Amino acid sequence: MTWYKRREGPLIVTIVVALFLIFEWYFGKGALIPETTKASGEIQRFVAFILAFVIGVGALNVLRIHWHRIQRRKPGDYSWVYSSWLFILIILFVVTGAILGAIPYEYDPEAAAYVAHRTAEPSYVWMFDYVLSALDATMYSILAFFIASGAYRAFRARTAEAALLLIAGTLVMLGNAPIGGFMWTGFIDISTWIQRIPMMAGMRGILIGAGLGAIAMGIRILTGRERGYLGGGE
Amino acid sequence: MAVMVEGRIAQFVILVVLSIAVLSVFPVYAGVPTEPHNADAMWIEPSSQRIVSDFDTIGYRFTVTVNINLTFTCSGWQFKVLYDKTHLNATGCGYTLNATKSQFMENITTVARDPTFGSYDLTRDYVLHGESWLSGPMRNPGYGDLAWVEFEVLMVPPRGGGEAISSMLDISTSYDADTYALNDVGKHAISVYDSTYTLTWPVMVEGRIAQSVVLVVLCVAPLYFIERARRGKVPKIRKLAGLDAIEEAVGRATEMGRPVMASHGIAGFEDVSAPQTAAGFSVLGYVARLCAKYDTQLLVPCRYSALVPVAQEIVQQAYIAEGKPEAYKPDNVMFLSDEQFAYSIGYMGWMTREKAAANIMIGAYWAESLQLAETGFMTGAIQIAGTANYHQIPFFVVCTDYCLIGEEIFAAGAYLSKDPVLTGSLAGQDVGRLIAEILIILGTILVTAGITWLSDILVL
Repeated sequence: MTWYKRREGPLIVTIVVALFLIFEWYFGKGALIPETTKASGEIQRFVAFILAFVIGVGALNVLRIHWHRIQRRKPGDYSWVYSSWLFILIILFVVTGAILGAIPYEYDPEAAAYVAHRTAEPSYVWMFDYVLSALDATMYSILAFFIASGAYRAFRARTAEAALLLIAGTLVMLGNAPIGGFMWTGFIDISTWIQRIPMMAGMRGILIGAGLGAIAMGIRILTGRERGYLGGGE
Repeated sequence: MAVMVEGRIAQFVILVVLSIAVLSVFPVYAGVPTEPHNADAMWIEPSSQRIVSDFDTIGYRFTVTVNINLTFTCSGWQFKVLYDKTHLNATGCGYTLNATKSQFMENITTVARDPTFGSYDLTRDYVLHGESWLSGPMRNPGYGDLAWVEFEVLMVPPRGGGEAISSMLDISTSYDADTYALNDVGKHAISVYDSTYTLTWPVMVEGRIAQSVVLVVLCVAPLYFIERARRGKVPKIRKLAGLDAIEEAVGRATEMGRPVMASHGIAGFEDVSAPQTAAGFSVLGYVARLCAKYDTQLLVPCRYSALVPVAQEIVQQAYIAEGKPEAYKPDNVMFLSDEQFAYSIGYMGWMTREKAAANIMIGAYWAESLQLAETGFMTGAIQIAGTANYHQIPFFVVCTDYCLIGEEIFAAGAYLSKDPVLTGSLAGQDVGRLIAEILIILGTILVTAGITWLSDILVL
């Protein structure tokens, strides 16, 4: 295997960077060697650069896949229409954000020059506020219906655990819904108690366990044992 | 036998009580230090202080108090504190009792003055403050606080090499001219004492010392068990039904001729959820190998474009490992959107269109967890989900067939690999859990008893 395809390279990078950042967390920036402060800043800048770069990788991935779908369109299958729509929207966003946003448009008295709107370009902002954000909120609100259907299944008391879930869920709902407090104020106290005591205890148990698991996993990664994130195998 | 056990319990209880009693003695001596000076004297408290720098120490504020102890009747006092203006800036000064009177002059009718701030020379600024008797009886001999002065740190020493900045809060240079105490006829000789301060960097960041000790202990335990497993002492770990069911889920999808969906959550590799993403990738590798083995289509939705190449590499490696590199389709690992709900709707749409027979979700999930799990239920997929985000676990428990809770997802890589050495590291987690349990029980008892040394140590 050629040297750049070997697993040792990424492993060494992972271990060195991880140890560096762990050290910095406990001892502070540049604790023993002042130059490490600069190095730490550089690493974070690398991350920002890489993340900015891979947005392009993601966009290319999407475009390639949808381009193939448009090319392979079959009679009766209209999914290529959605792929085409995706292309149109990507082009529209790029044009409004990157091209229209870069045109000097508004006079800035302080700078004594015309300045570009950049991401504040009105049509770009309009699409973001009135299309993307609206769709995002719509998707989030759909969650209410999913909760209802999930709760319906969860509250079928077929086992002792499900019955317990049903009772606890009902009490918490009555405590949180206005009608519960109207019927009997004790529902609010019971609901509060369930959330503060047993639920909190369970939640903290899960948190502690997850924290320990994450540390153990970190050790396996640092010692090169866990290689799943590198593609698995040896 | 029973008598012996009872005896041991009694011994244990006595040992615990004695230990707590002995350890509780330590905080008793941790009182607030006072710095009395022999009369006649004026001094600054604390007489020396070490200000430990941190990331935000520039702008950090601290306060000193000027005190006095006299053997004569006092009709007034004044001090002028000089300080290095490159290190510090005086941001406030005032009497110690209230806005118009010092604690030393309590019950005496005095004239209040406003403190004065100014430049003394090229390197030093000053704070001048004082108080004068007006009428009635003067202050009898005694001691007390005069005024407080607040300073803001302007400069910290360079990091590394243990360098420190050290200087004085000086009232001796101005003694007699501007720093003095008055008796009933005029200035009276007193001794004056300066205060020194040192700005230095800590060996460790404050608040993270106990953390680091705990981390070292938690690291040593898995390493010990890994080494132990290497020598052949492999610990037994309990069955994880969710992970055992993965093969069954892929087998079902194979029989139905429908694809498997496997996602690694919506977190990236650059925040606290990164271990969950890594756990998701470990499971993805395993699922990909099974799919390659059984010639089943695998669909991998990605939220972060940065993770698309990683997921593609994992899936490709799995196909290569199974000897079927030609069966790998890069288009089946798709970036959907980095917007949470756009990703969610993309995932739901893909799952519905492809009629996935298995939906495996291991990683960090937030509000989209229920949407994905419910959609999986509607498409009739066998679902295996797991997350360490406790707020999403109830949704997965309710809507999926198998749910991995919290730490179980981190064990997935080791569990699925069947590697005895990796399995050993899981036993190390139990040591951490044992320590956590002991600390919780001991901490609860101590705090209930009003003893705080353990919590004080843990916040170091």
